[in-house]
Amino acid sequence: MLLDIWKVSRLVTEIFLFIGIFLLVLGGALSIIGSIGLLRFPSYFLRIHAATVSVIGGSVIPLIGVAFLSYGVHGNDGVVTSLGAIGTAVFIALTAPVSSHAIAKAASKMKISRQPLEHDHMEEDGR
Amino acid sequence: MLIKVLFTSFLSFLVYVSLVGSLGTDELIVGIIIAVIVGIVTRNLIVSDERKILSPSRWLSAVRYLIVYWLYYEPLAHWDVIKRIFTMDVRPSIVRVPYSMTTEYGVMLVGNSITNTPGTVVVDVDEDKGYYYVHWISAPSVEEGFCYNNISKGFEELVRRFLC
Repeated sequence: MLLDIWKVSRLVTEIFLFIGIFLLVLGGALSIIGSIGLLRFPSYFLRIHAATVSVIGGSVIPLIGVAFLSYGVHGNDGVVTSLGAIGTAVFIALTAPVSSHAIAKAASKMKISRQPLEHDHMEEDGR
Repeated sequence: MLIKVLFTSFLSFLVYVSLVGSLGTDELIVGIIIAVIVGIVTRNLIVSDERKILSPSRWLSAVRYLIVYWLYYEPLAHWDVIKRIFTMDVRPSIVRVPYSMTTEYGVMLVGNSITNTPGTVVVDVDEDKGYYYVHWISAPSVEEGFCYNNISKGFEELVRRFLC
């Protein structure tokens, strides 16, 4: 019975390890793709979309990966690092849209070119 | 009032522990003292109605929102924008999206959900008329109902169950 529990816990840490590695690699790939988007998109507002890929895909997802990895490598000793990583991920997920809102609103107030743009309801409403 | 203080203190204690990164006795004692002080000072800013905190169905709905949002909406939106980064198939528009949330937390969370999914960014909010102005990376139509159905309806239905 004891052996079974040991085997199960070993299996769980192995699974956590692989999930952690997968999320880290995925986050790295999304960071690079987001950076390519930042370079390729033609306007300021479009680049914010690419930046979101980098922030959410490139920071939040790898931090969740770090949480899994820390538990997978260190077991119970890694729980504090896991909690720290999850706390940071939550913090970024909550604050990233705030900065996006702020720079998008600042850009629209400063009349930075919105082109290319097919329809603009803000301009229609005089904002 | 006690529930308000307990809940706010617990939240600030969680933030403290996760950022300090240690579970030593000294840190925990200092954390509890700071958390209680923060809880007493900010209770009315953070919580307006303590009965809502005690409702298990609201907490379950919040968990459902987290699961659906992170495992369905985020991957879908990321995949869509990744495709557009390589194909450059973009037809951007700033569209009016009506919202029906009544609480500030609700408006904030739906706005954050829209911005956190790549492809849609809230540029401005008209609180008097109840509109988000959303920069949409590829808008097939700019009709209000269509935009509402495709951008914020899913988030509103999830968020309304625990923040209304």
